[in-house]
Amino acid sequence: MRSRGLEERPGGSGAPGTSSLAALSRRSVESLGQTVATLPPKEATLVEPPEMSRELARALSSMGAKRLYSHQLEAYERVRAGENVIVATATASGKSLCYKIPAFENALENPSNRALFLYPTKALAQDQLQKISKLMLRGVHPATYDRDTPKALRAEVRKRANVILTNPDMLNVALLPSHDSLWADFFRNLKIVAVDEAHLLRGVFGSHVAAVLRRLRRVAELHGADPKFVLTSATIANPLELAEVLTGVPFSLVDNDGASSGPRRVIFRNPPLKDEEKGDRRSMLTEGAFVFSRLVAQGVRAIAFAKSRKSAELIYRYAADRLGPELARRISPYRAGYTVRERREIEGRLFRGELLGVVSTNALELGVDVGALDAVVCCGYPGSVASIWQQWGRAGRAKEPSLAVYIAGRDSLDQYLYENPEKVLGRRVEAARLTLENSYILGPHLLAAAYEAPLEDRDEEYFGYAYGAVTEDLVESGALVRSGGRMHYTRGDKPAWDISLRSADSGSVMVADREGEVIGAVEARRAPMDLHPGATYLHRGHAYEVEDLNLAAHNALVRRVPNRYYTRVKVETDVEILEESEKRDLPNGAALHWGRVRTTDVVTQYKKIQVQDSREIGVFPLDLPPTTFETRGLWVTLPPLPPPEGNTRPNFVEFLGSLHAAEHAFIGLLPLFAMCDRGDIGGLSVAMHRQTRLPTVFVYDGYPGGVGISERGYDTFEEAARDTLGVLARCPCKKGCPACVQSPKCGNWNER
Amino acid sequence: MSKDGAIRVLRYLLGQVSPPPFEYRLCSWNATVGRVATVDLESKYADGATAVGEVLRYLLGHEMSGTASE
Ligand SMILES: [Zn+2]
Ligand SMILES: [Zn+2]
Repeated sequence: MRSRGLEERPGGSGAPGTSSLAALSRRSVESLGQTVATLPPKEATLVEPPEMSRELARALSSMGAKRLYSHQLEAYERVRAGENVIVATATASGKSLCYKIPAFENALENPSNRALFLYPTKALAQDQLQKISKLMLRGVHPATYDRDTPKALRAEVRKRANVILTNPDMLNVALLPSHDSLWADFFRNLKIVAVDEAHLLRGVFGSHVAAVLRRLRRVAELHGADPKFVLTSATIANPLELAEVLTGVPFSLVDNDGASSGPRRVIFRNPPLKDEEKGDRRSMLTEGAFVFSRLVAQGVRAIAFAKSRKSAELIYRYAADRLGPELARRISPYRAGYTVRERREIEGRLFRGELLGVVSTNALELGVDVGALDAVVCCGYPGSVASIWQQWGRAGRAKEPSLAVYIAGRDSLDQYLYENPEKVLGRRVEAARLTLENSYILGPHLLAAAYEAPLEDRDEEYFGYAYGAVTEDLVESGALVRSGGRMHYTRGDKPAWDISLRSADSGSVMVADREGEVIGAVEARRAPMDLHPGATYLHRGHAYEVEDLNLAAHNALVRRVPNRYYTRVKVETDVEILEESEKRDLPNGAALHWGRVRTTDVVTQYKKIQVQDSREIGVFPLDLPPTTFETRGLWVTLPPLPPPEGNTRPNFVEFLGSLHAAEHAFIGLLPLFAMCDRGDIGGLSVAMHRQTRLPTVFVYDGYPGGVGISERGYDTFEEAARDTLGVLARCPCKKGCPACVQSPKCGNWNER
Repeated sequence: MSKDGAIRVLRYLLGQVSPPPFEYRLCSWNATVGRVATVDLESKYADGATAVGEVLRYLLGHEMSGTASE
């Protein structure tokens, strides 16, 4: 134990040799589900630390070890040699030291050297601040800088802190726009930029952050700085590509994981079928509560992860019921939004054995450490295989054995992974995708960049291929003014303030109740679907009925109602092909295409369904304007249908039903390749498209401008289609179910 | 929506429409094609649009005789 590498786990070195799993009998383990793997323990590859300041060496050894994991040393040496590095190793492998050591060493060499650590959430930054502060490095002055930082302290932080912990949002609105005033000294001396949990930077958010990081590089260069990037990521299919698209500079990959891990038993559990024909299964929440309470009842320190806050609450409640009042006191919910102190208190209680189990939402999988746990129950597919591993990584202290459970939900990816454990255990196919060529995203950032310093043609070097066309449009629309060979932002405001990194378009519709109190907001594009008159709008567990939607005024009026119904809209979708950029032949005269498309949705009806028993109450017409946007999509064309022959006519209705079902099944599986939500992808199947004049299936990015999802679908089409076929062939249902061809968001109500 | 149909579509797109059951169905579907053992789908297809319809009939599911293909 003494010689283990740097794991940075609070309580990790405590209570050695006392895995609570020892108490579990073989029979109880078997009752949890099917063991799909027993992963062997792995010895650490420890190496002597490099030559470094005595202060840092002292701090590192105070953390529990004098030696480093091999990947930590490799990252350090590469950064010192001037390379940009992305580290993709397991959860709890001490990844953050890969950027901390070089950053601290810089600061200790010269206190005016600065480093910027970017975290996806505030909680994570605060967690890390506490860890860094504990090292008590003289000469290293860490500080968080976010919306919570008191105004009175901000000047002090800017002046004194040489390690700033913040998030991309603050970098966008605060640091970059003030680079030549408040933050000039910081940028001038910026040596290291660390980006933690980089695999989360995908889709819309990732595309925004890529633009922010390009702005950062540009601003740093204006101040004569040349910071090196250190990114850390979960294991994904494309870490190098991700790093290079995010930043625009070449990277080295460090993925030779030197950390130790104990033996891990992996158990998969599928809730039993209630109705085979319909493919209906028992709830994964009750199953999750069963497994979790079973572990806790036998003294195992466990955490259960749920996909939403509500699910977490239900699992907690079911588990408490099962455990009875005495034991129920030893479990606790564990929510995002807890302060550092509240979290530390829970960790302390876990460590002392007062608490045995916690139930958490996925939000906490993000590197926030709960400490001493031996079992993880992952209730439902959390959205990526990388997330499953991050959740599992929360258990297993040092070399102690651990137990990882995956409980499949009803959705197709849940079931697919249950059937194919090797997709979880083996090589990763999911790639984090983002794009710098989305003009809707890049445009606002170019305005922000022009505000930071007038743009020149050579800035294409930072912003990529789309730069020329997008700036041209901005000049044409008057947002930028060309003068003296440069493009200027001339309005008085700060354009960065209008950018929300977490959404595709800045327009949103405010949801207010009769008293005028705003209770929420919905992206304008989604408003006809989520806020049409009569829609049930759910907010914090309460149900509201929409009374009026005013799209022009960007507001919707709702009133509180008992939570009895939910609503589903019917959408007429049209897809127009604007430009075909790629094409390749498929067998049998079919072809695969990718390019720019424009989609138009009209919400025509909605139906009202009783929550209690899913009974349909009625269908109501709607009269709403179309919403349209340009995006990227792939489309498959099939050869023309045969003409009718004699009195035998091809069954076109069933043919369309085949295409539609194949489209749904493919979209259901694509997130496994493109790391996104099913809801991020749109689809349309037609027996004859007016432009291709062929049977055509469209699968497109559900965001204006696209974010790289359909492109990944184009690149991996055969593999994804083969896996989709596997899902369909193996699904036990007769005529299609939510685990194969039905989609929770189908604009056709899974009809046709 | 048709789950069986979706399976046919994907097999078709992946080139997994395997000759024996497929030809059998083609044969039972379209007498004008003759003894299907002689039909070379690849070359027929290369000839142009007329043969495509024959392959497509698989897609349309007319020849499904109750047993799943393959
Ligand atoms: Zn099914
Ligand atoms: Zn649909």
